[in-house]
Amino acid sequence: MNYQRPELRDRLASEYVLGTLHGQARARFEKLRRQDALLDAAVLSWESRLMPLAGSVSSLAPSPELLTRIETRLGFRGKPEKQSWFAWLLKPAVGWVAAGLFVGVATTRLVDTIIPPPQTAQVAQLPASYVGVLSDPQGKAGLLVSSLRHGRTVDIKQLQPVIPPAGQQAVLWGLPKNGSAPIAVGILPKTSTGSFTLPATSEVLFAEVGQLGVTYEPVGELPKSPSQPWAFIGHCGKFWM
Amino acid sequence: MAESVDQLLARVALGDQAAFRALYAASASRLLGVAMRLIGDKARAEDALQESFVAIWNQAGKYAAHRAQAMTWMTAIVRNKAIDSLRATPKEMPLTQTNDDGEESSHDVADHNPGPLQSLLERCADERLRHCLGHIEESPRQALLMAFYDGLTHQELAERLATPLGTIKAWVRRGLARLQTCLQGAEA
Repeated sequence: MNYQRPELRDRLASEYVLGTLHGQARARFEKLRRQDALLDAAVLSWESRLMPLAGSVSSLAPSPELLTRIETRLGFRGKPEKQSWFAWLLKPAVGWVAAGLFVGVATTRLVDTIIPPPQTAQVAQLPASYVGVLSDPQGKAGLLVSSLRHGRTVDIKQLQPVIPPAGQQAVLWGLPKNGSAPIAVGILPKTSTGSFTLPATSEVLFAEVGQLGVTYEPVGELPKSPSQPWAFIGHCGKFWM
Repeated sequence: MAESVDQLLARVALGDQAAFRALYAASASRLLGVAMRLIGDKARAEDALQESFVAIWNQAGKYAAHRAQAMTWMTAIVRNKAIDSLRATPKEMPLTQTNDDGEESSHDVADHNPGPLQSLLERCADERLRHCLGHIEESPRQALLMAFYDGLTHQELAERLATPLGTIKAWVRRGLARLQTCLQGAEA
């Protein structure tokens, strides 16, 4: 079957969502869907069209223990939560030290004198990185941005949902310390955590950058300069001694 | 003010367990109803719901909030898990079934009676969808509703409606195409 024909793809997507594909055809379609963004988009369109039908089905209260079963399965109960580099950074004790370091590096470079030795030893375990904490216009933390000093990847974690308006994308900018025009760094992933590749190493891109900002720009190539107000902005610091 | 399901799912995407519990509280009954309608057995429907919420937690980070409404996205996950369960062990189709209150009713598929399916369609809150489905001829419409609400394959539809497989496939294909044309016309 030629899955490249648009009308066939749309028909298969519609029958998959309706539920009429039998076992093998259904499994084959799901495999294709995972590899094909256009097919995935066709499925999403049909889900939007047909799922409102499900709203008229009578509700049924689940057994009281079902949530416990789900939470146990997900490891919310009985097992520690997954620990990530970010989670470690966000621990209150470590976070305050990190924040202290961050402000210290960005302003006075007197870190060694203001951080007590035991805590300094703990923070020294982090690899040398550029780190930014970006806030929304209300001052609420919105994004963590980090990149290894000599790496070519930027890692992002959303601290609040970042949802560009329809037809727009979130663009990360570096604001040079000397006040010259912002430099486009890349397009943020749409997921709550993710990463993207840099055109050069962090050291080249961020060494002279004092702040990072995010604007919502029309979908397409990276713009030359921001056309919209800052959705998020914050200091960028060098996270090493 | 209580957070919407969309807001809760956005927080779940950030790994917020409290938001996950609130999302479950806000949606589990509706979603279990969807699974129960397809599977017809509460224990198996709850298994499908459990798998669905595990998927919702694990995939929420990949869910882009602007792609679809949260309830649409979650309902699609539940239908897929329920259909997987149905395909693994097809449900028995008794002539009568008993609900939680002990009331007995005849199955609305076996007797070809479109009444209950029609009333489900009439309760659909999406006026455009209701209008467009209402304009499809009766037999294709009945096939579409049976497929959606009872999770039947082409082959099962052919058996239930005592109609040749080729005719069923043509009804479904034509019904979906007309639905799409009508909905796109309504969008224009």
